[in-house]
Amino acid sequence: VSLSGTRGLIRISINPDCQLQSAMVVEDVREPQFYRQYTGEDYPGEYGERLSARRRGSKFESNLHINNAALLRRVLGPKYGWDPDIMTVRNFADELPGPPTGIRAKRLYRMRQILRDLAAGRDVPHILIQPQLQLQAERAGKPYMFVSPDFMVLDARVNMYIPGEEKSFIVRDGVAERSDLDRTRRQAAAQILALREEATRVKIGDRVGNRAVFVFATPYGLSPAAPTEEYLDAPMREIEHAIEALVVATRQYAARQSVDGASLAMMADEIPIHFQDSCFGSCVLAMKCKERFAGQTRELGDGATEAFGDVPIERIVELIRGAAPTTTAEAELVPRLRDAQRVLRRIA
Amino acid sequence: MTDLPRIVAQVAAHLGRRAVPVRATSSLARDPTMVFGIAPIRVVAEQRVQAIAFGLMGQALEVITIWNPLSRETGALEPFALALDTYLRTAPEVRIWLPHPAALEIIDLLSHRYANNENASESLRRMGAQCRVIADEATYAGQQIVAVASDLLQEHVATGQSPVEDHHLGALLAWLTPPPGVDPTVEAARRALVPAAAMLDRADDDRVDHLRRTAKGTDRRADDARREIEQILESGARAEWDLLTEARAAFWGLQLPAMVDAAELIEPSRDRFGYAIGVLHARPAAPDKLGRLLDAQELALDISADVAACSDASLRERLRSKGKAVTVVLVERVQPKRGFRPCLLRFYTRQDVLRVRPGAKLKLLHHPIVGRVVTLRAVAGRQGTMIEFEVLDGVRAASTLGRLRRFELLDTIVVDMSVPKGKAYTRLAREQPPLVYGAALPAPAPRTLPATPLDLVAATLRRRA
Repeated sequence: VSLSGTRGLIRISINPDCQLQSAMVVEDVREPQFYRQYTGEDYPGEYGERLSARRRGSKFESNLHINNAALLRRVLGPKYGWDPDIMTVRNFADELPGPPTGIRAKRLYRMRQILRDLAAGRDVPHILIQPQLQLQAERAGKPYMFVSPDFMVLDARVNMYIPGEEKSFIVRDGVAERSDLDRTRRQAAAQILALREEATRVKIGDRVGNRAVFVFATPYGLSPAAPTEEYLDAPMREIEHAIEALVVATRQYAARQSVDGASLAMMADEIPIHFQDSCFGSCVLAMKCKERFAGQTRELGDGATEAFGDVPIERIVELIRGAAPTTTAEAELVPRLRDAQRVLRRIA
Repeated sequence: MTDLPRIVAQVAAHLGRRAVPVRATSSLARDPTMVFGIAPIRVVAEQRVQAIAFGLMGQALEVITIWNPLSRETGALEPFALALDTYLRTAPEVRIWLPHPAALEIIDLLSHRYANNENASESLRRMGAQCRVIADEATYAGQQIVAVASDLLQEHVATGQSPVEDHHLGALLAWLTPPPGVDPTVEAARRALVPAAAMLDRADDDRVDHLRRTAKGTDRRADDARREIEQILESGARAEWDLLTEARAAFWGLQLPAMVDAAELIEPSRDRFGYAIGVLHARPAAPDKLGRLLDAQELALDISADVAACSDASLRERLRSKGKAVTVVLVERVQPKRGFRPCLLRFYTRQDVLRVRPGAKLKLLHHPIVGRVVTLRAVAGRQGTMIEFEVLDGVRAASTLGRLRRFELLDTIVVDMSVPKGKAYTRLAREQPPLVYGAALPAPAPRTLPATPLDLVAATLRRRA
């Protein structure tokens, strides 16, 4: 799995201050390969989706799309003001099959025709499956990136499409796991931004709301739960921030490379990183970056870094043992450390 | 807000290369004689059970495996259903141990899938309903029935790694029971490579997935494939069980004393669980029932916070640093008639951080006295604050308080409003107002309201416009 497209943007949006991660996105690296180039060893942990998860995901999606997307029409129609039986569907994956790299431009061309029809008041399909959008985001010499929602549904009230994501995550009592939702929301946020850009080309950008719709699975097999619509202002801001960070990262990386043309793996140690708790479970380099902070408060997590700043753990120990504070921050910390010690003494 | 004592404990753990307790008492009462353990293995993403190790902890372990968990065949779950039902019927006191929240999620999903499934056997439906009660009980603060090992350990100890790394039960245990001569940081990193979340490790999972295709046949190769899948699943479930056993032993190995007022948590938890397991009601959906549920959970939260504050000096110290507990000295008692109202206590405190204001209701730790703060004023010429405290309950006990003695005031008073609120919910259910129970809004019924200053302002603005 490479860090191209929306996946890369999501990663940057979670940790925009990590220049190494941004450089990995600019370079479009495949993480396990990059880990090997960087460390000389194979990545020892688990990477990528498991077979069962991949199978469930594709089964869930194909289930929703068979019979002219009957299940998708059934769950989305009533929500967006349509009779499911009269809804029309265009499935770009059927119309233009093939690997995404070669087919995106063709799908985008058709998508733009649909948006032109919508702007002209002509009839358009109610559901678009695997539509193609384009988002202005400079990366490695390319001024844009492709964004592909799972589907888009026409909302009768505003006469505009809403991007949608199909995920086989199980919702219980109508509620999905928070951890499952975070990335999905960021993904949808990038889609909203891309749809607005595309719609703006035909002067209907103001119809695009900051909302997306999610179709998750019930606990009972592969049937879809009731769709949930969410306003995604906050994730959208984070994605916009990530796009800006990507522009900066592209320039910084180009400047670094222009010195001697070294590969990213070779210069990785020189690139500033921003190691934080969320790196675990999202970046293959998490443990390696942790090693860079051995003996520092950052090793103890975001809470410790927030409380003490980036300082050696040894210095905290000295302050606890009565060393005189040398900075204002340390002077402020000392009474709080004393309080904390009092708590711990109650336990000992 | 940053929990500085925990972070300092992390520093201590980092230095000592061993986990450090962050509580002085155990939030979980002692295990009863019969404890039931459940360690499931799921199909990732499908969240379906493919193996469960279960049984009375410290006694015989049973393992069931389901070679094709996506089929409609459910017979393999019957031994688990029987064992759980037998335990819940016969155990004098119930305690169920699970390794981590992922296991609890699987128990909850069993309830969704089987409790109302008309195609499932009667025993599986009962198991589903029992699982629902177990999962629901786990949502109450301070409950004493369901023990989720990784949550309990994280609540009671700090390690020398980040809290996010502590979520991995194996990595957490590396700091509690490190192998001799091995640095826990290294050991934790090694263990974290294999998931501890009710799933097989990657290689085994892929192997099982691959074998399932062959196992669906009817020839000898299919028999062999099924046997191999079952072996892999059994060994995965046993590994999770071992993790659970190690975690439970590590928790009790902390040897933290029980909370003094633990009975205040044990009895409601036992009563609530006993009732729910007896009636096996469906989850509430009506507004009145949901209201009752939320109130019950809030009350449990308040009781749990109060019991913890009263029982654990370290937690009290944390409250003190936030100004929610106040160490005071009684300087004067104004009580014209001993043992009767009015009774005013004047306390002096030198505590810097005070999060109490006039009108706040506080209680005196270890005394049956509740009162209200009347005034707070800085003491001229001295560093400190004088608190005037009107005793509302416990005036007789207040008569015996010694002057110049130290006391602790706490703001963790539990107000149980379940009776009046229960009456309100009963009325709500009887009257079924459409605004609460209806799916659509009632038709508009415009009224003519008397003019208000705001109407005048609006009219003036309109005229100007």
